[in-house]
Amino acid sequence: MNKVAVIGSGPIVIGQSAEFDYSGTQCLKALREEGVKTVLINSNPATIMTDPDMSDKVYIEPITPYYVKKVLEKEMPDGLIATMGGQTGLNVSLELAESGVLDELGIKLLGTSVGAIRKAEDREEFRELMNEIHEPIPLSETVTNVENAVQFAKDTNYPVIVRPAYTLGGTGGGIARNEEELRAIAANGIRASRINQVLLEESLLGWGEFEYEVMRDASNTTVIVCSMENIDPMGVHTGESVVVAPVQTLSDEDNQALRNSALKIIRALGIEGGCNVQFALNYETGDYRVIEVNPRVSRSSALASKATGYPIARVAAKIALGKRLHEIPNSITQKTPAAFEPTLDYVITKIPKWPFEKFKRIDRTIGTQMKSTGEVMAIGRTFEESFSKALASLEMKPVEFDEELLKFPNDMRIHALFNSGKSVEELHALTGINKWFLEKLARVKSVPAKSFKIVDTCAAEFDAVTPYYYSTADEENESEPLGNSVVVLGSGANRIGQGVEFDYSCVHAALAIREQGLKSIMVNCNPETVSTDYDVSDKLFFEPLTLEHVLNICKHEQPRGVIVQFGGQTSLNLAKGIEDAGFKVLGTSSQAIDDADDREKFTQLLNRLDIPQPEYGTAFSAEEALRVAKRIGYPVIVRPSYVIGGRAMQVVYSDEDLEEYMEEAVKVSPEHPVLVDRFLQGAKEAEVDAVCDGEDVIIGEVMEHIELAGIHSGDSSCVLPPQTLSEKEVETIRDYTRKIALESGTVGLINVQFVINNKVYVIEANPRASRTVPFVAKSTGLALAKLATKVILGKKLKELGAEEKKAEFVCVKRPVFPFLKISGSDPLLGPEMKSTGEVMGRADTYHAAFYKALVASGVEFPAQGSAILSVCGEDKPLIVNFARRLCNLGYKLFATPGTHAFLGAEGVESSVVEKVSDGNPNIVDLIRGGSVAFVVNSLSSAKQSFEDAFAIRRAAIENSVFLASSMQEVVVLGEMLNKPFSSEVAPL
Amino acid sequence: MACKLVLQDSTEFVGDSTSNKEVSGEVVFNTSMTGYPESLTDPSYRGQILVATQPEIGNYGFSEEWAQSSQIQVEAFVVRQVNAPSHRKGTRTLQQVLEDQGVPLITGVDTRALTRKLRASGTMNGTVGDEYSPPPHRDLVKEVTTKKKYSLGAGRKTVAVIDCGVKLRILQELLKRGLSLDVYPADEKPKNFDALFVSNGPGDPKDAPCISTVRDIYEGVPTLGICLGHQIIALATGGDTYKLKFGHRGGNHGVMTPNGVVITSQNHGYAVNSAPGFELTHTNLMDQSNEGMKHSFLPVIGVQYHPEASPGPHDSLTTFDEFAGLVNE
Repeated sequence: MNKVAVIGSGPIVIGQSAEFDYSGTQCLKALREEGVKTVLINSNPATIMTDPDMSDKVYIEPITPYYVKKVLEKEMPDGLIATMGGQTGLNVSLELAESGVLDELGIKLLGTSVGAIRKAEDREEFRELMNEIHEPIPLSETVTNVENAVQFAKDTNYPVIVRPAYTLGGTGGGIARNEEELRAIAANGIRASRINQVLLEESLLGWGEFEYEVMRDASNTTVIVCSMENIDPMGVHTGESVVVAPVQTLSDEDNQALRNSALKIIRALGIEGGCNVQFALNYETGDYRVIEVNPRVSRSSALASKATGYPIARVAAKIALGKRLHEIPNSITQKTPAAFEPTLDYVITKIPKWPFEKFKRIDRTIGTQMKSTGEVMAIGRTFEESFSKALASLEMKPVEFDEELLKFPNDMRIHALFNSGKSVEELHALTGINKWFLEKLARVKSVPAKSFKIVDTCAAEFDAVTPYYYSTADEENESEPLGNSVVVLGSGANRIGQGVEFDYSCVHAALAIREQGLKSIMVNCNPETVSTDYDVSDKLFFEPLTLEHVLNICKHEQPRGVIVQFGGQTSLNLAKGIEDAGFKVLGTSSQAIDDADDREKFTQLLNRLDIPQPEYGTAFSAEEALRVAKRIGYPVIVRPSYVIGGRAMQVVYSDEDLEEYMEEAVKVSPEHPVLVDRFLQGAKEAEVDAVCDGEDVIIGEVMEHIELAGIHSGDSSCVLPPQTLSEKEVETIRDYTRKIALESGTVGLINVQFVINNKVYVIEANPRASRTVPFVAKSTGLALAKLATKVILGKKLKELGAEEKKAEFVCVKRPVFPFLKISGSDPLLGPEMKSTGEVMGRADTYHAAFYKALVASGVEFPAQGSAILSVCGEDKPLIVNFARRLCNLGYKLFATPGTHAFLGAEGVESSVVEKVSDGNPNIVDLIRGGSVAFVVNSLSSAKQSFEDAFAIRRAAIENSVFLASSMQEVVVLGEMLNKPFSSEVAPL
Repeated sequence: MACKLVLQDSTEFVGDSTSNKEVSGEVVFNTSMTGYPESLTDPSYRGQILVATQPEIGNYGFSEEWAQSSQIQVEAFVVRQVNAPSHRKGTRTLQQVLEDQGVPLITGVDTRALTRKLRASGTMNGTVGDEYSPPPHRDLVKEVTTKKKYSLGAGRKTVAVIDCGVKLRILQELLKRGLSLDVYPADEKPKNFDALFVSNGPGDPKDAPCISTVRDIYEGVPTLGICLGHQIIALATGGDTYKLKFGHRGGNHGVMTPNGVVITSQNHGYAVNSAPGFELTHTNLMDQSNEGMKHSFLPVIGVQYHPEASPGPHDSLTTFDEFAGLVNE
């Protein structure tokens, strides 16, 4: 093997998060350690694995069979590793293997074979195999239509669990309690499945849920890396469950029974690498059932790696190259081999983080479908300590007790349990949670840490060389202060508004600190990320990002300073406390960070520089807000102060809406006023990331948003270099950025946002790492975060020889959204951020890059079918070009009456379709019918027919039909369809 | 009540004890994450103060079904934290069982610090009490061996079991394979048998009372030794044993066998360093120590670790098949 291709997992979505950046990065490192050249394919620019340093060749291209094949043809690697990129990487690799592409190109699929993957993934084949080896599985049946599903339930009784084949995070699954629910869930699941197949199962509600992480090599050596127990009993997806490791309530007899089963299964499948087996165990009888197997690294394997210190992805990569477990050293001890089973002398707790505060009117129930965006992990010597640290890591306000929360699984249940004051018996009856956990939860309290201990894979039996620490109230301290160190604060759980982009910057900070000859210390509590890989920094403290825990570390380490500007709001919130305790915040001061967030002070700064901003006012009451709106004129954009991710921001068009908003917004943050800004309708938006050393400024390329102003920058698509801004506008943007960076006292990174409406206005400036830093870095090759770190450490840009870089290709960033997973959520975009991740399209023309970004974000363009157009008055002219083009390409057009008339007048033919409120068959029926390729739907500025539009959008999302996110996207789409463009691939 | 564990080098660890009894013994740590009921009742731990590195103990209580002998064998049990159980079988609490048998349970100890100490300095004696007092010399095998010969099973072939503190699971595994067992006190010479089994047990193999017995009879019959039994076979055939720095006690070591790597259940403080006439068949991947051997021409095998598990991985139950094969040949 000289050259091996690795496929990533694409954008961060619910069910597929930063864990695959971690596994992919480890895999690349492991391959290069063995002298193998690497080729990486991933569409997600906000990852460490797509860094040019990580791989010999990096392709930021859509992860589809078409593009992956192109890369493989160009690079002709000897092998391909399919098991590092989640379900996405696995599915694409399977398609390439099955269609004969890999054979044709002479590329060997390394590690686990196609046959083994198929046996594990295909419900029917898996079931047959389990029967063959006498491993118990739930009573089940695979069906491809709803009627057969109903028949199964008649034979086995409700509730029945529906699991679609080949989807990620359980998309489209659920528990059906009656025939009506079953019909709905089964229909949805059959659609969501790649092979239109769902599995129906007997319900194991109330059984305990367990997971075993297994490794096997080609010589049949098989070990359990970690055993995990879900606190939430069966019925809640393991990704949605609070999980502890190691298993706590199983006797050795039970534990060995599950271990034996896991080994037997992985051997029968012939997995070569990592694998995860899930079990249900009846606490009353000890009976167990095998639930499922993931024949690849997964979220659970990332958790298991961080929980034990055993690097599953790294070892799996070496196994894929043919190494045996006993030949691979345990990187923690370096003296003992990987052919052993880690043993823990601490307790791990994982708690998921849900995005529900971002969505109105949604169902907070958790179940077999994943809805969480991330998770925190904590390490403690006891369950109580571990759980208490995990709670602290969540960064949540204390939850008021509400008995309702105990009655069904939901995001708040664990909090409600924790301070319910009810007896263990009562709680057990309500929740089905094992009494052991309930007893322990009643005793959870926060105890100050006294020492730091090492995660060493072996419960202290052997000396550890890795610097992986956690704090505890136990006596003996095992940590020696490093000296000459700099602390980097991470960003905690992945969530909407604070995702993997921040982890990317933190990792770069740690690497840059080492490059400067200093020691880096990472503090973070997110088990999915690269930053919590113990070989990224000189020392890793796996700790909650609270002032208490961070100061503990500072007092112990006495670092030169702390870098807070890379970890998003989580780390910024700690800046002042760190300074107050006498430690140094390196780079931009906490005062300067606060000043930029303070609207009054920021206005003064802009006035000093003679830089315009949209008119605004500050309101402490509803009356005041109305007065401000009257003064500056509707529409206005309103938001509470001190926010990130656009929480509770909204564009408001009338007094009535403003009054309603004020009632909600003031509830969100009573101690802070509400800002009311003039909303420049139809204006363009742009943003810039820059590095400032106090004397000079280096500017990343200007990013132009594709959507008009009013959509949160994290939810906007953007393009770089700018496509429609004038040279003068771009120059003004750069000039303002420089001036603001210098005047604001920025030392390090700053992000400045603009609206352009004939004139360039500044809307905000944030002197910290932004979400777009990795996108700019991948587009231009300018490693902004590393540069910023060096500046923060005292270097000057001149000294570093830093130069601005132009992007050689046009790069388009497009966000991806969780609307399918969050049932009932509204896919309409606005100032409230809703996206979970992003992709990058990179090509020599704007339209080609735009197309790649669409494809990479999961948009499929059926070659035929129909399009539904329903747009409001002012948007009608914008769709004519697009509609005409679709017509010429042979699509059938449907339009609502107004749109139909408008298109008719422009000479574009369409059929009328009724609005939802006008009876059947209507738009929604049409979408459900299945032949629709595109849906374009826009709201008029005054929210008419809101419910109608909502129903259309939901129908599009639920039926996986492309829903244009904005009129601007439709315009570009129209242009794109008009011009031929090439789909070549090129490495960074 | 507050108590101290004082090691022979005067290092002290504070904790709480369920009893005011003072005990002394060799302090050893076990790294298994499950299986404290099996370990506590394993006669090989006789005379020792056992430290669990798994910090949460008591979670599944105690059941006779898991016990490896009829009593708690350790001098004292040292843990980080003990819990109320929640398990269908573990109907008795660990605390109750230990109290009933007068064995101190020491909680609240920084067991990781204690383990690190033992790893660095090697296994030491210690006292649960105010100050260190050396443990008296004891004939440990005599304490745990059967007082009288007894028989089990009704198979065609009879295995003479030399009981140096045999774990119940070993007897069960042999019976499962259709063998009859005559279980002898360790100092009694077996008679009328088709095969020999030399059991696990506590202490230094050189103190074992049955070395000469084994020397006299092993050549004639298929023989299996486990743990102490493995060491006794080595000593009986002219080999030698040595004391490990801090022993192997846990369920996670990889061992290379003729059939590949297995994960093993371990509990031994001594190891074999020479065994003339034997081939080394099993090697510990952590420290390359002898984990198993086979005579170059006689049907005699020995394994250092515990193929019967209880607690620990079941990867090596095939050892009993191999032995049964030799017996039935």
